[in-house]
Amino acid sequence: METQQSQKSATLDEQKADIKREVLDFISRYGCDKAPDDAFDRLARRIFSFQFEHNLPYRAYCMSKRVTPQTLSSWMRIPPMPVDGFKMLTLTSVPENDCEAVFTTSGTTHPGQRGRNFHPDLEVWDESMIVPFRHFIMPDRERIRIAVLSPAWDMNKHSSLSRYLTRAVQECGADGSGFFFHEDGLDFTGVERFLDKASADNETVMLMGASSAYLYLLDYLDKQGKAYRLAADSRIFDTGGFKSTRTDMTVDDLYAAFGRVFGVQRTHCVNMYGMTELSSQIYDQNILSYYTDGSSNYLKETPSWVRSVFLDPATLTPVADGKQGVIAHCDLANWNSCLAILTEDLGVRTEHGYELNGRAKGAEARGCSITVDEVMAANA
Amino acid sequence: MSVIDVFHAPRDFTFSDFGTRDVSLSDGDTVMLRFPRLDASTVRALADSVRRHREETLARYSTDRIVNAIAQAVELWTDPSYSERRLAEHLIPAITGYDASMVRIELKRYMRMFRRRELLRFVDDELDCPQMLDEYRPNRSGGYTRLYGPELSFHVFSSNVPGIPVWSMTMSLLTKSSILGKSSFDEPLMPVLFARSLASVDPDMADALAIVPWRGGTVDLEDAAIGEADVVVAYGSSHTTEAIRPRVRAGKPFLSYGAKIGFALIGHEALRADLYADTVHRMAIDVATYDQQSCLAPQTMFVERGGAVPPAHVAELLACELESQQRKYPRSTPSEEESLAIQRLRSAVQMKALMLGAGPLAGACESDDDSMASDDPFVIQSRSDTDWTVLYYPSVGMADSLSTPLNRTINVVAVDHVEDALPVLRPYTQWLQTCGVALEPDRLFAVAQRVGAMGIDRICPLGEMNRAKSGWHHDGGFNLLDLVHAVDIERNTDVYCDGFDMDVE
Amino acid sequence: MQHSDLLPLDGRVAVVTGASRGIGAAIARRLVRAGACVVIDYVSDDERAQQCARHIMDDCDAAGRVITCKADVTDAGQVRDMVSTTVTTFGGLDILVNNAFAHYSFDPRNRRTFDAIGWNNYAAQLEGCLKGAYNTCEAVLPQMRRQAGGRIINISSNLVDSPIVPYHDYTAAKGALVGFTRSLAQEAGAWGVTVNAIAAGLTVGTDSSRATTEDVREQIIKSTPMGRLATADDIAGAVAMLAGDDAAFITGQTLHVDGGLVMR
Repeated sequence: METQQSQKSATLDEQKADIKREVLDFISRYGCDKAPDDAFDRLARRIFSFQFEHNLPYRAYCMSKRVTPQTLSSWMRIPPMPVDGFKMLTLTSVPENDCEAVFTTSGTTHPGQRGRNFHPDLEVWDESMIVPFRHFIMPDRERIRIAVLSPAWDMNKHSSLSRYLTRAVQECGADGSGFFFHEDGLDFTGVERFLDKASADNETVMLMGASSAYLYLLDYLDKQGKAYRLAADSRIFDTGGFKSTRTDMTVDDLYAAFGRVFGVQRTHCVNMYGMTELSSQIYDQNILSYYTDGSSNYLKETPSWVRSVFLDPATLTPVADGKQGVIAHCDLANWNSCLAILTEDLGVRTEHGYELNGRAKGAEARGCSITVDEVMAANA
Repeated sequence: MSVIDVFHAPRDFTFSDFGTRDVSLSDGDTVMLRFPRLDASTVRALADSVRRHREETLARYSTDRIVNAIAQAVELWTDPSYSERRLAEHLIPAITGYDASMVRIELKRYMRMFRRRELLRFVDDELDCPQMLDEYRPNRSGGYTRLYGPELSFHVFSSNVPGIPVWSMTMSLLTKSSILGKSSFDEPLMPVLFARSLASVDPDMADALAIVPWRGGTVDLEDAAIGEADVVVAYGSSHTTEAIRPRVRAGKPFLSYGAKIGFALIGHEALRADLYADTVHRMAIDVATYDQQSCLAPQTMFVERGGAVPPAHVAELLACELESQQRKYPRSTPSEEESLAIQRLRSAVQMKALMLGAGPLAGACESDDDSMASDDPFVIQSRSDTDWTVLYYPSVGMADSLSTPLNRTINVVAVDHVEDALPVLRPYTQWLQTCGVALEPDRLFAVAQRVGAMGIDRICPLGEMNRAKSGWHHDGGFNLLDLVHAVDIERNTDVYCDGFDMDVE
Repeated sequence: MQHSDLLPLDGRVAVVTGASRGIGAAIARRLVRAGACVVIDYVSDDERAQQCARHIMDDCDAAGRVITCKADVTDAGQVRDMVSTTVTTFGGLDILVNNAFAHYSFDPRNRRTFDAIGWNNYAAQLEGCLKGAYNTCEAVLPQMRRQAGGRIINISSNLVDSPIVPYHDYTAAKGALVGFTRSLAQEAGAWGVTVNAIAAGLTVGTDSSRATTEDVREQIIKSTPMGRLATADDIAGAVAMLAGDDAAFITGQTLHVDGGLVMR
């Protein structure tokens, strides 16, 4: 019995090392270009077999869809795990206890039920983060002076965004970069000083933070009566949308405010789409396109190891390009949990990238439908 | 291309500007719907007009005369070749997306609810003395009472079930009220066709009605109408009705009919070997009619253990029946948001089952000992689309929510006794209305006592949840009494006044 | 494997009892060719079953779609285990073919007359044929019900309707199987499960037909409109038809596959 166990875990370790190596090779080989279809398909199947064998809840889920490595016809048929699953199930091929890191969601609707993505180690995660970051955010330079407005890695070891921000500064931050979110919250005066100095130095800078963080900063600066004309090539990086804060502001309003308060034009405002459930991020292409040929491509693009599929909400089968669908991502960097996930976001793919339309809005249903939130509110 | 007017107004009222909307029919043809463009002053002018016409007609009619006029108009609808009926059968499926056969059958059933004998039932059921609507009649405390209806009622019609506007229009007419009705573009036809039927029977009376469509939430039009009306009646989601409520001046009756959740209680006695097939069939009818969009439709059905088939089998049988319903009456197409909500619910229950360790094997470990049988939640869904979904929960505690995104999405919850279901309904009190039952007679009344106390106000047979009978107290209220106000001539006033008669000594 | 997207039984899972040889093996092969994943049930010969599975997978380019399962259909526990294995391997169970039966030899010359056999002979046939079908149906129905559909196909014999050679015990058991089929069809239809029987004619190359001598064969052929005896593939083809979507509205039927020898 024991020999069988140790044999099995030796196999798991070997498989794990192989898969990691293959993913890293893939990232290094194809970077942010489009990888050949058969290469993507091959590695996707490999990872799927691995997860099917070891990630038991995912296996059960795939079984319920009658998809097994044997019967799989192409990577597009890999059953995407709904985001909910990360809350309710323990999705990991490598046992929980052998995982170095767990990223969790911030769980707003159901506190106590957080989505969890397990990472045996962060080697692939770090690589899949930095390669597109350099490609889409830093196409014109090696380093830039960065101000980080949201909690960094030291403040939250369970936040993928926190690690992201720390790594960004580590790899690409120039002298004078700083983290401005501490135990007491956002250090407004610190940020103000950063911006003052950047102005004085006429130094190109980048601000990075969650979209909601900017709302507070803009409020503060407005009250201070401060507005800046940051140096050319300065850029603003935001992510996450306005989840739990006031929602009367639109994305366009935000970018207009950036122009007004920081002097940074829309061409240099970039949004990053990331999720705890994924190991990779997806970017707007406008900074890349600006420094490539001066154009402004505001659509999103994925690196070679991530492919997004747009599904008809009624049938969950792929829609034609140009039609809106709910998004499923196949992320090869998500080699441990589930490489395919089904989001609740809608989007449209076009020739030059895709447009994210955000979560399906709770439009008025025709009939007498009552949401869980309404019931909870009525009984609060 | 034919043009259909989706509005009705007094014959002497002219609109200055019109808009149109195209509707594609199943046979490939297109029809243009024509409606007037409105502003607040036009709305007020309309209100004025119908009120004036009412003075000359409805205000002077006896209840009998009104009943007869409505009855005659309704009788026209019992003839399959009646032009307005044919128009409804032709256009409403195209406008709403509901299956044509379903619309045809439900509509003719519904209209028959307003035949003369049913109208008399509406009236006699609520009023000891219906003539009080016409004149002062002796009351029980020794005086006299007359019931006065509003001069003008403003109705906000919903679109989820074709024909519902006929009900509130009829009630208002019986109280001698003129009507200003706002219809939804999602179903603007039935109230207008009914008004036309009335016009063909009594054109003068029909001049006291105005029906116009406008986009819900057009604040200036709504405020104008609300301001002019003496009574406001609104159908729709809570969002719709609650948006109107604060704008109705205190003291003015506001009747709202909002979203509701229906339930069904199925006792083991309805799952006898010779009965279970029919019971399941009835369940499916309740779920499929108008795709569950009616406020009368069930969202959760509680099924008792101990019958010839266990609740899990009932859920499975229901799935197959819903497939049959889909073949017979294909479901209308929901919005993307509704589809996504259904997908989300399906996967949530699947996740729950996986979380509990359920595998793909159904009814695992079925042995001679039934208690060994694993009873996990499960989902059975239509093959390719969101056409129908059955979500099964082995106990009340397992269901996160008793409401569903509708569109033929139904919860089936297993209980040891249907009475166990009742405490679970408490959080839904404000949305309770209909309870379909399949229980033996002694249990019927005992259960009725308890559900009545919880907020249910209509108990009906399983299979008939979507077909309310005439005279029922909608949302526990009164059909006519809520619309009228009573004026009393106090006891002894007449005797006192006799003193002024010269001849009295 | 890419072609399987177009195949009629693509994604379906079938269990065929007594499938390591003869008609059962032909049925298994035919279903695999139609795109299904198949469980070959057998009772004793491991090697033969494995070989059968291997050949089918090789011939049909169906790696991973066929497994073998040793289960005596007269043993409810073993049958339940087989169903469990099927579902956990392939994710579901859509088609059940009851082909296994207690060994019988169609030997016209050495047939035992009515007086020469006892109730125990009848019981043995009922046990193998009817009880086997009962056990498998009982085990698969919960799965099929949950899936809102399924196909059960029972292999019977045209001797039930026309016992040209009266093999009493065998025919009685097959007759019971037909009644079983109809009654189950009546109830299971509400769950979307069809239950049908195939009344096979004498089939060449099977163990049971080996003893039927040339003269009797010729006699049968002479009375058969299609002028030949049934092959295992003929039976398999009819099974595949009943298992597919074209037969979705057919239930409670007994389809005679015997070249027209018996017309019902």
